[in-house]
Amino acid sequence: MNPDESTPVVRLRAGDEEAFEVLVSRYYGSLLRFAMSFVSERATAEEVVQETWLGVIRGLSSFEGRSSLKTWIFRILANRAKTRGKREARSIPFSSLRDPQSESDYEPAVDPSRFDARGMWAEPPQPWINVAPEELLQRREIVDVIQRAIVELPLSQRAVVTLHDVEDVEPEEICNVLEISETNQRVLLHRGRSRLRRALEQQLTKK
Amino acid sequence: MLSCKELTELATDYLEENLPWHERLRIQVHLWMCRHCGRYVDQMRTVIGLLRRLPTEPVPPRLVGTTLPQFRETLVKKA
Repeated sequence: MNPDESTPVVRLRAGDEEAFEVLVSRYYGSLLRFAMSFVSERATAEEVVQETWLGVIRGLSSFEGRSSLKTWIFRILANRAKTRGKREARSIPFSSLRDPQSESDYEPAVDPSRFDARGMWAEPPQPWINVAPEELLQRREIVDVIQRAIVELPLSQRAVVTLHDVEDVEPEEICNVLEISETNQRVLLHRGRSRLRRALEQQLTKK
Repeated sequence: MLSCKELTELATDYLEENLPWHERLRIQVHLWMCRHCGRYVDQMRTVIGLLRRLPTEPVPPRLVGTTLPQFRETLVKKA
């Protein structure tokens, strides 16, 4: 367990309200974003987040610290979201998470027509605006493009990219939270990131 | 030699250091010679850099308000 996370657990168990409020504010945005990989409606996602907090409150006494507190909370959310999906008879394509090959057999990182017969670039990537990510994110339209591109990812890719790149969760823990194999995790991360690069290409190519 | 098309499919495993040393070496040799692929990998790095720094939504006060009573009931009472 993270040393900075063990103390909050102790405080939470002791009924420290301030620690609880800190926890809720700290993870709200992350949980909402992750919930959106299971349910598309924002209102439903908010409810899932609410249910997650109840699960956290009830489960705190049995939290063993084998994963980080954050991962543990993400796992509670994933379970709630899946149950909810079943109850509402929504088709959550998480069954396809188990087998990314079935999602669509061939999903190239780059449009194959951009390569020649030998697989060398025929239409190579053009330079992007040479600005650090921090500065790019100051621009509203860039943030919008990324957010929209994430929303448009297939749900399984969205869940993996969100956990891996946005939330910085370890790959083994992602497999654990989403109940997928390590290979699937890698494939989904690769496909998701490649789609995001394609989405950003137009926006960021120097004109 | 590794083709550019193959390299684009290995980019994530390369950046995540999931490849055995000889595969890694093949990519490094390719990147050394091919500026297009160098640019491609840099763009993937930019994508990752952007994702890591995405702003998150602040919590709406009403949410803390509705969860706190539950917390009190379950944990504060016990404590």
